[in-house]
Amino acid sequence: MSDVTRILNAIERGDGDPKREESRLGTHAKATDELLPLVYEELRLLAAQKLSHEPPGQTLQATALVHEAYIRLVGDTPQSWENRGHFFAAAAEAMRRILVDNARRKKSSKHGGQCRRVGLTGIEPAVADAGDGLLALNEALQKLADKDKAKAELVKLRYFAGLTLDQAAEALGISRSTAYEHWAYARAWLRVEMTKGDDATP
Amino acid sequence: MDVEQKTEEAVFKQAIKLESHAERAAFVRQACGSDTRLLSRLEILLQAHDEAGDFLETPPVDFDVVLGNSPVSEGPGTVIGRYKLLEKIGEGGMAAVYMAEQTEPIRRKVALKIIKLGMDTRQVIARFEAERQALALMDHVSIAKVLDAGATETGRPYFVMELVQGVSITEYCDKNNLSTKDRLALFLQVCHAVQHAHQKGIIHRDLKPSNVMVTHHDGKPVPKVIDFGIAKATNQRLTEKTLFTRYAHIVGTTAYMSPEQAELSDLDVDTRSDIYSLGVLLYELLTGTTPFSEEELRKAGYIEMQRVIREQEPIKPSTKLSTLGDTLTDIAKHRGCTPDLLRKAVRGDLDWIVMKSLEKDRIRRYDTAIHLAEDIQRHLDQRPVLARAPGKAYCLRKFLRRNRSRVIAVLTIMAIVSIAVLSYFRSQYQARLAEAQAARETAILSEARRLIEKGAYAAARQTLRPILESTYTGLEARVLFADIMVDGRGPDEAGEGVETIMEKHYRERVRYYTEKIEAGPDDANSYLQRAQQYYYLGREDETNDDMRRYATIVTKGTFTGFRFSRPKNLGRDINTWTQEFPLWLTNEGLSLWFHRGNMFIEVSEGFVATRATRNDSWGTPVSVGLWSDPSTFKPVGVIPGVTIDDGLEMYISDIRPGGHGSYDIWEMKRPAIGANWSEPVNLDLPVNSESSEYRPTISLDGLELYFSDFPKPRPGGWGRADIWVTRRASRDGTWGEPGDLGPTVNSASRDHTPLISPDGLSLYFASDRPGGYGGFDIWVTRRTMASASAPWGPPVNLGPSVNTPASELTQCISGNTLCFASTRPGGYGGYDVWEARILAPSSDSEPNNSTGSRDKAAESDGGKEVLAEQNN
Repeated sequence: MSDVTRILNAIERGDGDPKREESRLGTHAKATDELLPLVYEELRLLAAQKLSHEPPGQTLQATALVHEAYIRLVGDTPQSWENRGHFFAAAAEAMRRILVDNARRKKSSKHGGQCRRVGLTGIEPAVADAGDGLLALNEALQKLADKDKAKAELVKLRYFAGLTLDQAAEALGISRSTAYEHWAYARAWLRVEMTKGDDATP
Repeated sequence: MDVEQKTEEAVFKQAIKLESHAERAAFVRQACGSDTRLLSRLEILLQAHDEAGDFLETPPVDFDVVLGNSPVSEGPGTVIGRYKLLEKIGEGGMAAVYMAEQTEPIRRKVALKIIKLGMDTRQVIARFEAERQALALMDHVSIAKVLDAGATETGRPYFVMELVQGVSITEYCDKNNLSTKDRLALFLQVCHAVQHAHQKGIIHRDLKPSNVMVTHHDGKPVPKVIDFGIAKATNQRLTEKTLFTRYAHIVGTTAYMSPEQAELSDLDVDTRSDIYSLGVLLYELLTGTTPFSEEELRKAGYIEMQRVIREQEPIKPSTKLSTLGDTLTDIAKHRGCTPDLLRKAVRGDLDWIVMKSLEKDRIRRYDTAIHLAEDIQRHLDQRPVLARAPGKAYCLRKFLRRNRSRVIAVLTIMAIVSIAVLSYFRSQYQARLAEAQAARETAILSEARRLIEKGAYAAARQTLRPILESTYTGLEARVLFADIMVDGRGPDEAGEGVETIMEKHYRERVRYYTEKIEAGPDDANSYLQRAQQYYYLGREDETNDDMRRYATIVTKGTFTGFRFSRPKNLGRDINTWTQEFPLWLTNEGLSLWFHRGNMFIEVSEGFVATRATRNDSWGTPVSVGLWSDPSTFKPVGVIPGVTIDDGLEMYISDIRPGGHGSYDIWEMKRPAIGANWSEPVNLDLPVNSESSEYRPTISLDGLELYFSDFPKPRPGGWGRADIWVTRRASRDGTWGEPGDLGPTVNSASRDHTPLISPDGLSLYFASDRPGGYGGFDIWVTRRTMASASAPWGPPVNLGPSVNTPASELTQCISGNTLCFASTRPGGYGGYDVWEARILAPSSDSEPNNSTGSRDKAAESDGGKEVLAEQNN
């Protein structure tokens, strides 16, 4: 439990100039690297625990899981917005991987001709076609990240970690209005990118 | 970001600020000028923007929580990799075999064997891959090729083999009433096949009738040995681990298992183990039964079964035939002869050949399968067999006949002496071997630890692999291995379901600490550690038991004497998936204020729940509004304090603007109960500082204000977070310079969220100091008088029932009810609110041992009475 806070504190101490966007993203990347295994494990563990505690048919929201992981890993230790940003960047990345993995698994099992399957983690996206959409989004997001890391990060924080626009802005150290513009652009860009894919493979 | 995209983005951002479509279009056209590519791109983007709706606004897919064990979902029609299952052609304890169709690169029918039991798929496949090249070198008409291996969707390993359509060798022989001679001819071919494999360096390890099929080839029966390479990959060995889980399945094959394979120790298995199994197979072909029958072994139980295989000499085949009674006629009939003729055919050469193959000591078995085959051939050719050493045997037989009684007496004594001497040397030898082995493995363990420290997890895992199943260090190695799986595994490596990994990990650790406890029953730490594992496994009773034992040992019977009722979750009305924290119970105990959400999420909302009397349950909480500032979305961070008894003053900690940095303490007043609170006023210096002043708790007389310097410690503290106190002379006086409660109360760890009891004699707080049960625990320090002059005593842990391996944070106290936040199991998520009644701070040493009468007494007592008792 204290590991995450320890890492966060270490990052906070070693943080260079958080005002500059590049440096903020750089620290995010570093923090994500360090936090990812912990957060990832925690998320999967949480999902697994839910699995054993919840009655069948219950659904768990991915972003709710992320917030719960935050509570469990950081506890009530008050954290700076900066640190929360680091955490949620890692959590968003972890959640993206989990969901994408699941979607891939689901897809391959579909091709395997089986209708119902228990994934290795025991968790499956409930919406039948959400898997494909997610994979497409993931691909598009990857492309966006190659061009423009900051916007991809914003989308990840919003979509996979369930942050509000303001929280994501805080986490990334940008103003609300900039965040909104980034968001609008990234969303349009991703939509275009994803429809493109549709046209290519009818 | 390239220039093109920058322009595109800039125009896009300007454009979306324009409300009307016409305006937008005009703006874009103007901005793009002659760049038609940019224009069309922007049009597409803007259209996408307009149509985006709630795209990406709703959280991603929900997880469907699917319960239950993974159903065995493979069946005819299932496609696994390149193979389509057609029909099930066999099923055993460990695996199911299907006929399957391969579509690419060539269309053919194959056999696909899916391993059933929960094995480490990656390991199985890795072991298979290691032997794959050698397997590919095998090319023998009597060996069914293993073509491929992989993992199914459900994560179970499977093997693809050449499809053999036939029956097992024993079944074939009996069905066709094959004579002993014909049986031997068939068996010879099996020996040749095994010899071929041995020459290529492959040991079968699991030779038994069901792995030797007979099929027809050009009208002639051809035996086919199947499953080469699979036993090794699936590691079907008797280990402590497999013993309990797979006992039933193992017994089935123990009849064919060599003594060295039946040993628990990881003695290397070599080609001579296969010779032994061939010997058993031959025995069965001749007599219709194995040297030790399965039934016999099963009845014997595991230890005895092992002993039998290791020590008990089997009865010679011909003798065995004589013991069979009525069934012998049947067995003889299947061999096309009479019982007498059968006995005669087996007696002599064949007895010797079989017995030489079944030698307990592999040095005395045939060296190779071909030697076994040659001896059988000699027998068929009426030549003397090697197994018999004819001349000497003949002399010996004569000698025995002449001096029967004397020889027996002498031989018996000699045998006893030599057995004793031999077994002495043997045990000495084995002990030395074991010692050397243990030393080697200990070295491997330390090497692995060194690698883990360096963070070279993959290398450490590789290092540990060879000793995972060892009898000496296996358990330790497995625990270490599991640790790496949990701590040092990159997410991309996560192939196995996390619940399996974690569960295995926790179970291993339970076993590990159980062994430690068995070795030293007073090892308090092991109880604590085991409790933690049980906790993770969701086994509450075991967790509590172990914590109680831990408490008994560490406190040596001088437990705090605080006793609490079993904590109760306040229920779904109050607790939700998010955290209910912090909370504040008014002194009369009838209103409960709390945050819902966490200090981070936008739903950081204040709620209040009320009840009519203390014995009622809480009503549905009512929102009292957002506790965050909507203009900035920053949490206001109000941490309620305790109001003074008259209910006119309240102290909160907050990070609102106007403070001194981090959390500060603020004071709120109201003229009368029910009136609005004033705007918070900062207590200012010297109470507040640039560091944190967090979670104030005020004594009922209003003269002492305790708080913690969490999370940003004040200078001059003892640990990472301490409890501090500031005092004033009267309700109208000013607060003095805060003082750290000092090393008696504070530790080097984090001590925070203090809470003073209404009588001023107990100070509860949360701490993650050593000696707790994991996470934050609630501790209490006491003093004899509610006065600044009485010092606080050494804190004691509230003990199990309140504290668990999860985190417990002090919240509020009202009368005899202690409310606390806890992440323990049984809640609804995150920190939940729990309450426990303080039964009595009694002097007896049994923690958490509330008797019924005590319970009732406490129930009928008001909080005041119980607290009064506390004063004595």
